[in-house]
Amino acid sequence: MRVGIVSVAQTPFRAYPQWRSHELTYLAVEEALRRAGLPFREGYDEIVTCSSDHWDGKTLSDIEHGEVSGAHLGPGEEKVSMDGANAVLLGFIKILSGHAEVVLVTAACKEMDVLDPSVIENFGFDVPFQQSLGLDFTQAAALQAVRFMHRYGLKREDFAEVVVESRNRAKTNPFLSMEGDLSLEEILGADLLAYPITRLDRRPPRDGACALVLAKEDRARQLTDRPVWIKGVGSCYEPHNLGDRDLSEPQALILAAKDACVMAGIEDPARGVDLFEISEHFSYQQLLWIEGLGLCPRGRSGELLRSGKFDRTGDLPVNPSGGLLGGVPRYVAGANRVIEAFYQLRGEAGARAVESEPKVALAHGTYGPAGQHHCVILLERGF
Amino acid sequence: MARRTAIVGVGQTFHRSRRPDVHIGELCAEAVKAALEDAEIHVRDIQAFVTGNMELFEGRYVQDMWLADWIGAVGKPGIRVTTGGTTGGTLASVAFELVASGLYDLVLAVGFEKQFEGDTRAGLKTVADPLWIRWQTTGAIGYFSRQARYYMKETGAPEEAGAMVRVRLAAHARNNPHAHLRLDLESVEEVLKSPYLIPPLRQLDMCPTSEGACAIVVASEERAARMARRPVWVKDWTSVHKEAIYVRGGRHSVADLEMAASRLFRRNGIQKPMEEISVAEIYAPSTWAELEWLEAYGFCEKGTAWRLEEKGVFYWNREFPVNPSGGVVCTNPIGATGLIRVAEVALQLRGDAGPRQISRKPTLGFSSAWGGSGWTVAHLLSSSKD
Amino acid sequence: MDIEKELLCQRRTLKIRFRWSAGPYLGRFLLELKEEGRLWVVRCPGCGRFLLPPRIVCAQCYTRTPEFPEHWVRLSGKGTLVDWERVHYPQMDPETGTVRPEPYLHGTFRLEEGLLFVHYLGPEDVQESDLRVGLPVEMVMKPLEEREGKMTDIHYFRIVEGRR
Repeated sequence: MRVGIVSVAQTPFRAYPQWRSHELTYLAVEEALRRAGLPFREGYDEIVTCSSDHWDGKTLSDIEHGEVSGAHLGPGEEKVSMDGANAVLLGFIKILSGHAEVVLVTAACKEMDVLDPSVIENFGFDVPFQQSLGLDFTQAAALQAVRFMHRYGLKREDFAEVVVESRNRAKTNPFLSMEGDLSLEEILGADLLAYPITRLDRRPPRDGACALVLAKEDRARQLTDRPVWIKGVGSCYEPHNLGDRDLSEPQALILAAKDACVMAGIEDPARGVDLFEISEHFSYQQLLWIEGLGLCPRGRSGELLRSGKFDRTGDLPVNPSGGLLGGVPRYVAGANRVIEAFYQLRGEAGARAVESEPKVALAHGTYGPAGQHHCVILLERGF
Repeated sequence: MARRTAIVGVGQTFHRSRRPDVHIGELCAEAVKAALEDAEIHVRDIQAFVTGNMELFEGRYVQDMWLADWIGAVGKPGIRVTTGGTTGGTLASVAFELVASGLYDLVLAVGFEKQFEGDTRAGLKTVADPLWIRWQTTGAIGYFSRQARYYMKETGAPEEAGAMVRVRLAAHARNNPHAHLRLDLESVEEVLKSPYLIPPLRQLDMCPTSEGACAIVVASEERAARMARRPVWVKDWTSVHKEAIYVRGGRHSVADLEMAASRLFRRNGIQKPMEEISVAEIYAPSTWAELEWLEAYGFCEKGTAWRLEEKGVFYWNREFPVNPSGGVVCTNPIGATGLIRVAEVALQLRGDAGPRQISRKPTLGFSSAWGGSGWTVAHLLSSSKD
Repeated sequence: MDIEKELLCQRRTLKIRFRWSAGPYLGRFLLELKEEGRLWVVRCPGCGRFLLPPRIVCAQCYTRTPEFPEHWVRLSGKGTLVDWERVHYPQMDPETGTVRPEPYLHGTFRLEEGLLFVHYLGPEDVQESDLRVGLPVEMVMKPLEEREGKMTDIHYFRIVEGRR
């Protein structure tokens, strides 16, 4: 059985002091359903929402996100409290299982309402052991970045280059709000958060929401003549103790990608995939994930990035959207990668469209400290 | 459904108001180990994991990160679903879906709560919209006292009705070594001595806060055929949500319970639920809710559950056993509570429930989970494949 | 192994500061409550029901509601007593961190416009023996200078004197 994505919608990502988080979800849902020509509530069998009680400041944040998605005495609703790519994965599973034919998937986060993000992240570490150290995800990332640098002789300039590229591409993406040009020197000279990560190496916080409609093959063909099929999925955990991991070896990404590729019948992503939308919450992660996906030999991603290999016009385009460094909310992040891949495969990516007329795309989401969990979704143009 | 699925192993911890001897990881490991031993497999056989709890209750963020090591999920796929009180039910549903999808043959779901580690009342209060009714401070107790008042008013049930439920559940819990409250309540009079929380709801009418975990192993049809235990087949599952309860006055709607049960019964051709279903494990946080909800699910006519309770038909050794485990009123580790219902039905259908094994021939079992703003997750399990 | 025994306990307090946007629906409701001392609802353009509090979409008929003031209706703040409950256990007030003295009363009120609404039943010396279902009630606001744009800007609902 094939499962397709038939429509997507998202709010532009920025600060939204005028809206509450579930109101943003509603705006995305309304548009995604309208594009699919589906009526509210009656048009789909299941809803998968993605939100976090910590960032919404509310136990059962899906009461509101579900309500505005049509869950009142209607389709069943389930909440995935992980990166948004996993919500897409669960929607896919629901259809494969035969338990639903059409699924609405939403993701939302209004992280700019939270004044103490690092406190929340700190409580993401196990309390008896690592939490006492005051670690947050930026500090964990810094440890990972340093290990990556030392292992392959990379320099801060390699990471800063990712920031320059991402910001340039973000300016072509109408959903992002990235303005102004920054030079390599300005990025290297920005305030250090934790060596080697500066304020500009980190994904900037944003508010926003997105929605996707998934359907089994026959329903998908009724709803659109340009479906995008989900070909393969994979997800994986790494150990929690940072000391138990070689942080320069993204084991969970490697295994998740392997599962997804086996399912999709792709032997080598570097040859079987035309486009990559990956989740770099920090600049170095784009390079580390590129290497984890096997798109280039270890330690060489920085130099190949400079050569243009991963550009919009290169032979392995990575994040032509501007990626997460262009400013995408937490939780929405991985779902937004799927949406960007969808736009590219449908030829609806506007100024950020890659030139190769891509047929197969890889979308990736990660969450937890230093990418402890990864999710990979392979998509194929269905027309 | 694409593929048949079956429950091939269940396990739970001993539940207490506090489990100070273990941390969250060890608590979950205890349930996982029990489920794996029951299934007679090793954790490396499990292909994917489903976890969940009440996100804010222990104050921790991304709990699955830490749990990955303790439940054996490192290097494996995993998904985390958190749907409040229904979390345990959702864990089972998602595990069924992962197997039915054809992607995995053996999946483990584990739910837990370690409520004493956090401020559960503060956690429950944050269910309310922070800008609307969070200032009100009664949480679930206010909700269920109102529910009890309306049930009494509408059905003419006396205050003794709730106490009768409590006596039955105590009798069931005494037969269940895993139950949290195993009280020697022999008479209605003893229950009526319990202090009021909000009249007519008494302390003994309401569920406790428990610490504990529960896990199940779900297998595909092919894999189930090669397992140690008799498989318990999954017939169907569903979830129904309601809109946010912004205005909490008056009678609470039970439309979610009605819709979930009628959906399952209709889809599976069940016309006389009380005759065709041999055991029900329902998620009712208070004695009074148990009465009203048996009616809402369609097991008996409106206003009659308390009369049947009077006759004793809901005892484990009688016509329609309800909550032979002792139910939620005796054990409530929230993120595990819905999953314990599923696990208990599986044990009963296997005939492995020991001293609390129902007397009726176990064929079909019904389990439910409840939470959120009036949400129901319900499952239908069967002792036979077809 | 003794499952009652604790070797060591670590204590933490998780304190996260939020700044919540109230949005164009609830935000307007709270602003009007603060400044004008009145309750507002939005009437769903689809099914005609009153939404209290106002919200972006009617969950029952899925019609998007307009922003203030189109389709918004100001309520009288008067009604009748439907039900009350006496809270017996001490609970922390999540807004202030202090424990509210118990027992105290919550009331459910049927507003003149037909909606149910829950708030405190006051004043503090109100006697339960004086309460009866159906008694007329009215909303009492805190003084203007004490209002913050919160639901607790409403002091309580009280029985209308002289009409018992």
